[in-house]
Amino acid sequence: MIQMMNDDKLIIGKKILKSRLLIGTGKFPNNKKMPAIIHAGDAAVVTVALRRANEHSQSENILDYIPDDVILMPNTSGARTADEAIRIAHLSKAMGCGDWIKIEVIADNRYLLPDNQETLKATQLLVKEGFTVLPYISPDLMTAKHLADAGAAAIMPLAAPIGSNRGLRTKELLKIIIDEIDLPIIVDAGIGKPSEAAECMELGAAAILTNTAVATANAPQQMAAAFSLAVKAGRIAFLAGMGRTSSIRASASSPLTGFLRKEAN
Amino acid sequence: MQILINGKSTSVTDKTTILTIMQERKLSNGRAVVELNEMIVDKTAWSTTFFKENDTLEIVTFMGGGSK
Amino acid sequence: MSSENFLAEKQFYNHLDFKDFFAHVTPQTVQQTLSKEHLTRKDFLVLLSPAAQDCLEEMAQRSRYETIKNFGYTMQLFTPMYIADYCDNLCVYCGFNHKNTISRRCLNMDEIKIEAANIAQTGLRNILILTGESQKYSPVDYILEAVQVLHDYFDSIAIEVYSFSQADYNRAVQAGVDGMTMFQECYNKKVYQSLHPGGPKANYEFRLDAPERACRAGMRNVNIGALLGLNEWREEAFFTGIHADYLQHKYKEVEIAVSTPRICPCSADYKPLSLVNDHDLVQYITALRIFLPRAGLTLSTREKPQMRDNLIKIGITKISGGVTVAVGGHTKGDDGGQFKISDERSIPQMAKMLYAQGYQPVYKDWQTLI
Repeated sequence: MIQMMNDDKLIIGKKILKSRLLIGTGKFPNNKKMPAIIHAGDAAVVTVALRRANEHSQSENILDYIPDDVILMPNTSGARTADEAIRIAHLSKAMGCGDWIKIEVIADNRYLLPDNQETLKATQLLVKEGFTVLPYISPDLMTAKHLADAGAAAIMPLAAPIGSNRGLRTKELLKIIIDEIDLPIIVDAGIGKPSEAAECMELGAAAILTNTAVATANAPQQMAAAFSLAVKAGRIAFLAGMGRTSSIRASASSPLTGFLRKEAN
Repeated sequence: MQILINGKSTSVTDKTTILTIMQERKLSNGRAVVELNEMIVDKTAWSTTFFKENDTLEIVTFMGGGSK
Repeated sequence: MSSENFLAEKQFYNHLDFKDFFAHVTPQTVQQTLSKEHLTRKDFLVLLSPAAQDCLEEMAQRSRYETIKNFGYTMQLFTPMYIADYCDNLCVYCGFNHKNTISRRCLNMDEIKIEAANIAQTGLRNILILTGESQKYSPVDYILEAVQVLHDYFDSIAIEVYSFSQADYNRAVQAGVDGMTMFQECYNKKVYQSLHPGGPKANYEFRLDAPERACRAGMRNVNIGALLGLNEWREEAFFTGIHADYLQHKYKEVEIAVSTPRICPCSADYKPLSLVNDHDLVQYITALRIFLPRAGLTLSTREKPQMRDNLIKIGITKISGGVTVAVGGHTKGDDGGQFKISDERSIPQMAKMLYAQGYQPVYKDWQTLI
């Protein structure tokens, strides 16, 4: 089992990820608990957002709470258009923390669903500039294909609207993207429970990004650990090859191959 | 003169540089990025960048954020 | 990742030992595979194993279920129209072999019009045109000129001719060709080379890449196939399925179809290397359908009426009728030709049979707006 996991590497951009869990750092009551939570979840990637600095910045800096052995991925949250996402990406890169960027373009404040077209535009440009781009999308196969063609490093389709904790609502569409797109597919947003993360991994997702489910748990550290185990369990199940998955029992009407026997006689 | 810092009108003198402002805000340690009139200003140029009337300065930093 | 071309994709299986793999497959393995919703390439190979012969009825039931789910109770009809049989190739199993001393023909445009009018009279609105490979008698320009003439009679025109260059497939699509059929004949390169000792077709790679060139050109339908009997059929069946899977995955906008022709006695004096019996053919067709639920499956008139009438119920989506395999055969009747046909029924007779079986015959699948 351990061997199976060791040989199973997830590579994004040019980096080998140490696990298949990504953790978002929003909505936590206290940044000081962040290192222990990230550690408990064995997160490979941690996302951060870019915001205007407070006027009198006594407040702590999030970077102080992010361990050195994780990959930092700024997102473009707050962007409503491709141009805004591109601007945020440029600012993030100037921060000097690498060239990973999660493109998140949201102009819908009711459901917080991403704008796939604007996301594609931003991806096309930022890939050309040398960014490692991970776009966040509504699970649409053709968008995913165009993003892959544009040079995205991974695709991040949503399981349900952000922060909804509603679980794996887009399963059929996610499965198609996982099967058809030759890039790591990271399920992002909507995952409320570890069991749902495991289910995504069983489908063949490359990794999971979770934030709200961990940040809003009574014990975030334990919840991060539970997600870590769930992602590993789901991955092993996927590698082991899922067995009986359908109950397709075609109604055995009249035999369809009887004519073969008649032929033989 | 008046300039706009993170959307707020602020008075500065003709001797004020970006570095002065960043030091005042305890942000000179490099964990922040500034944009002057939508152009990113490299940290090495902070001490030599002065302002003119109605300049717009954005100071941004990383915050907690996963999904919006 | 998608490979650069199918040749590169095929390299992954260079060390696949079919005998060893099949030795480990039991009927239980096959049952388990049949209960999965989506099949991997390995699962497909399980369904092609000798052990799966014990599960043919279950495979047929699942195959019928998938076919009806995806295609309903409809069946596309088509007919081939041979317009030239001059050929520079030396395919040892083919009646058009360059060395065969048959009298050859090449229809002129007036003859093509008469042939087309005769076919259109049966109600067919799509046509598949065939030629041998001859740059002298049937060059690309000749074929495309024929296509122009045929537009007056048919809404959908497909070609089953020799391998084109990328530029020529582009031209063909521009000229309104919307389908192409290209049989690799044999995926095993060594056997392929022994069967195709001369002529342009001796170039294995150029032919293997032809369906992909057609996809790139914007062809709407691409139909591939191996000629069963030229090599161990299970190996050929596997690579045909993998080829279709590769194209379907990489060119999502193209409809990929597979034909499952068995070699049968023809004008040439060739003894098949591997015999493919009726059970084998059912196993192949059902395995393909279960592995690739959306792929078209085409059945030719090489099969007998009784076989064809049964196969349409378990996986086939396109079937020929009113077939002649001789140049000008729709005008003067059949005499010899590329191979021997086993089902002489006309298009109206096929349509009647389909209605009787609960299927609606489809005379054209779709039509471009241009």
